[in-house]
Amino acid sequence: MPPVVSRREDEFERVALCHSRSLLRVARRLSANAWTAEDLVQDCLLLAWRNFHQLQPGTNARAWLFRILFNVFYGEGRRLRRTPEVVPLSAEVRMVAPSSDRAMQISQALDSLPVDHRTVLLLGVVEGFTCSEMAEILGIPIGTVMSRLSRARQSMRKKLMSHPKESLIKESR
Amino acid sequence: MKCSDLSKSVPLYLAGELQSGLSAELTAHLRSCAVCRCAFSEAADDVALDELVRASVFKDHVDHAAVDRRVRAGMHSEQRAPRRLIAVAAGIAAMLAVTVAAWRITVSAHANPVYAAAVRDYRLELIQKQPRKWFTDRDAIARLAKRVGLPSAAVTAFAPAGYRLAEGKLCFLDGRVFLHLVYASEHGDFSLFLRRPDDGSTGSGSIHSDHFAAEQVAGFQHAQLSALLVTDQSALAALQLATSAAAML
Repeated sequence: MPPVVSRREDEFERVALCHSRSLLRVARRLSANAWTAEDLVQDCLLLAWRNFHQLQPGTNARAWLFRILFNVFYGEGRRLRRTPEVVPLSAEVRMVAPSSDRAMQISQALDSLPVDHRTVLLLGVVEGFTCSEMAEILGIPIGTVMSRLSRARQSMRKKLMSHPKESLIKESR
Repeated sequence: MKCSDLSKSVPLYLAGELQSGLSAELTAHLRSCAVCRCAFSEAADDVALDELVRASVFKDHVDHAAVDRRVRAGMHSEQRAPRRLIAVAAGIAAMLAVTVAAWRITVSAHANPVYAAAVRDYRLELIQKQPRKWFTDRDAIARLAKRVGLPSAAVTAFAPAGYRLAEGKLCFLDGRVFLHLVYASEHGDFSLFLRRPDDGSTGSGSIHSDHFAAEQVAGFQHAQLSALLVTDQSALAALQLATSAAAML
């Protein structure tokens, strides 16, 4: 007999659980490995479930979830971030690995950024949050968000310096 | 086009959404203005970089199904938590009730250890029904009564209205030997503990009663015997039974 799904669960599925892919994508780039990323997102979503009654209708649920994710990441997730990578080159790792040298270079450049810079790139560039939303999610002033974003882009450019600027533009098109 | 218009036009131009006329104006302005050319170059580079980053991250293999399953399981178990809490609360309440009952027995036991011992024996024998050797034959019970110096004929003849003598055995209460008699009826049982009174003790003939959790105790003493009656019936029933016993024994 299938479990009875309550109205609250149904609402949570619709409002929050549908963002698990986005959360996992960011968490995967924040944490040491896929397993700790999954733990991070699981903790985030269960915390969101416990506090679901606090989410007011009309609130940006996606931004709320990412705020919880970063609270978990900077708080309880500290242990997970420090977990060393002990995973052998499994099938999953091969699937994650970028398909070309250039893709590998970009991926490594992103992963080597300081976590604060990586965070704003992931939220702003990949997930499409505005600077004010990022400020709300991370609990920092909007000016700090903008300066981190600028420095993050500068760092990325430096790491990809062997390729001139023009080549970046050509590559992206 | 002026330099101040550039900040609005460049993002649209880079996205390929700028109208063709404005696009031509922008291109012409960039040819003539070195400052805007530099700013445009940086903006274009940022857009290109952002696209590369997006493409890199979107290539990651992200399987969220396992996480979703674990989250759903967690949600279900947390919904069941209140029911578990009720069970735990009921357990705690039961433990408190037992503690209070034990405390009452302990306090009463300090006041009258023989009464407390009689209640303990009643529980062991009648409630928990521990396997013991009982005598059910009247003659055997009469012999037991005689052994402890009790008027055997009177003891075996006593039976309140509706009750019958079911069984008997000797037991120790607070270091003294008592004859434990069990009287049964269709409404319930009671125990009567009898012993010969201490030498020189005549007894007042009055009935004393006490209660231990669910049990009532009524005691009396006269020249020939000391008696304790224990039952889980009401206090009034216990007093009536003890009065009847005091009159007949």
